Amino acid sequence: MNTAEQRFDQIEQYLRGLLSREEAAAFEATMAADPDLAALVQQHRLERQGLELLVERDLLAQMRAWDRESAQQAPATATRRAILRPITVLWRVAAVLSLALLGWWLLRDQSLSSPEAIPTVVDTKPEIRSKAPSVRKPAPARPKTSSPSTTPAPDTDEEPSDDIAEQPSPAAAPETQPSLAPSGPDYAALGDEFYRDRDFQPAQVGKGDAGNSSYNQALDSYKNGKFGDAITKLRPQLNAGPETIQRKELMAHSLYKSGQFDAAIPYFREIMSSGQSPYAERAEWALALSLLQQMPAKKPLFDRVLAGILANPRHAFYRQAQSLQNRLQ
Amino acid sequence: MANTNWTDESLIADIQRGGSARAEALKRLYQLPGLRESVYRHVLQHGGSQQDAQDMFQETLVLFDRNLREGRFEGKSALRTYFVAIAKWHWVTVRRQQGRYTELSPAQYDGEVESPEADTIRSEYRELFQEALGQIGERCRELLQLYQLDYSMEEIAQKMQYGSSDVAKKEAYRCRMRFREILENNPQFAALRNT
Repeated sequence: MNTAEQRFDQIEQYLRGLLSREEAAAFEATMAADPDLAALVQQHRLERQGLELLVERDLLAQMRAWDRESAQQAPATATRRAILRPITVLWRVAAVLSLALLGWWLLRDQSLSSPEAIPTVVDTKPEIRSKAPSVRKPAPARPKTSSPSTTPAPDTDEEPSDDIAEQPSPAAAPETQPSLAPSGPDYAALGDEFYRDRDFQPAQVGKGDAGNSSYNQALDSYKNGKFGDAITKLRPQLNAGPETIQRKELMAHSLYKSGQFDAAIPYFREIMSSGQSPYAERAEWALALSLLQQMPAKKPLFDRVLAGILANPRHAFYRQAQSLQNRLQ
Repeated sequence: MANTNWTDESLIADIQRGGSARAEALKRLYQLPGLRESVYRHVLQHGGSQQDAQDMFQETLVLFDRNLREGRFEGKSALRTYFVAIAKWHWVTVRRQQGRYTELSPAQYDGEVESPEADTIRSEYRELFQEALGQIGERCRELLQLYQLDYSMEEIAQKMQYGSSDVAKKEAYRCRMRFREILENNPQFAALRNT
C-alpha cells in the first residue's frame, strides 16, 4: 500500500467513525495543522455524499420490488377470500334458518300449550306512539336544531304528533337500524384525493386597483394555508374590478379548503354558468368534488354533475371524472 | 416501534449492521401497518396528492436509513415519531422548493429531529454526482455501494468474487479514484466547489 492509499484509508476510517477516540483526536490535530489534509478530508466528505446516491438508488429499487411483492400477494389473498366467501354465506344462511326454525318451534309450542294467552295480548293497550324508536337517516350536511322525537311525551295516550306518525312501527325498526351506520366508500377521503392543488392554481393579477391588491393579499393568505384570512380579504371586493371571476374562484376554493362546501357551491355554479374558459370547466369539476365531500346526502346532485362532465369527452377533467367514477363503482 | 419480534433498538442495530439485516429491517419498516398511513395523511392534509404522499414516504425511508447509519438519531423519541417527523420536515422542504411553502410552527415537529434539508445534497452537486456515477461502470458502482454501506473488505471480496480482501481494497481505491477523476475533470464541479 503506497502513501496515497494509506492516507485515503486513514481519512475514510476517520469519516466512518472507525478510529478510536484518541486516534480521532490525533487525526483532528494533524488536520488543524495541515490545510491540505483538511481540504482532502472535505473532498472525501463530499464524495461520500455523492456515493450515498448509490445507496439511495438501490433502496428505491428495493422499495419498488417490495411493492410488487405485496401486489402479487394481494390477488392471492383475494382469491382465498373469493373461495371462502360462498362458504361463509352458506354458514350464515344456515344459522339464520336454524334460528328461524327454533323460533317458530318455540312459538308453536307456546301457542299449543297456552291458548288462553291470546286474549291477554288483545286487551293490552297499544303503546306504539311512545315506544317507537326514533330512527332517522343522519343529516351530514347540517344537524337539525331540534328533534321532536327526542322530547319526552307527557302522556302517551294523547293524540299522536306528526313526527310520531312518520316513525316506523316497532316491528320495522330493527330493519332500518343498519342505515344509521352506512358502510361504503370514504367519500371525503376520495374528495381529498381527487382535489389536486395544481388543477386550480390561482394566478396573481396586475396591481391595478384596490380590488386587485386585496386579491393578491388574499392569494398570499391562501397559499399560506390561511383560508379564513383569504375569505375575509376577498369578501369586500368580490365584485370589483375586471378580475371578478378570479376573485370568485379564489373565494370558492378558500371556502372549499376550509371545509365550507355548501358555501363554496354557489360560487362554483356562478363561475360555471359564465362559460369562461378555463374557469367554467374547473368550477364544474370543483363543484363535483364539493358534492362528493357531502355524499351520500348530495348523491343525486353529484351524479348529475359527474354525468355532465362525462358526457363531454373534451372536458378538461373528463379523465379525472372517469377515474373517480371507476373508484366509486 | 410496536412489533412483536423487534424493538427500536434491534431495528437501529440491524440498520447499522448493514447487509441483509439492514434490508430486512427496512422492509419491515416499509410494510409496518400505520406508518405509511401517517405520512400519507400528513401530505394529503397539507396540499399534496396521492403521488406526492407515495414519493414522500419512500424518500423519508431513504433519509431515515441514512440518518440511522450515520448515527444521527439520538434516541430521544420513538422511531415511529422520528420517522414521521422526518417526513414532515421533508414535505416542508419539498413545498418550499415548489414555491408552495406553508409556514408551519416548529412546535408541529419533534424538536430533536435535525432538518433533513441540512443533509440534502444540493441539487447541482446531485446532478454532477449522478453523471459521474454513470461513468464509473457497473462493477465499480456495485463495489462502492457496498463500501458506502460499511461492508468489510472480506464481505466485499466474497460478494464481488475477488481473490482476497486486499484485492477488494485495491479495487475500492481504484474505483474511488476513478470517481474523483471524473468529478475533477468536470469544469462545472470545479466551479461549484469554488462558489
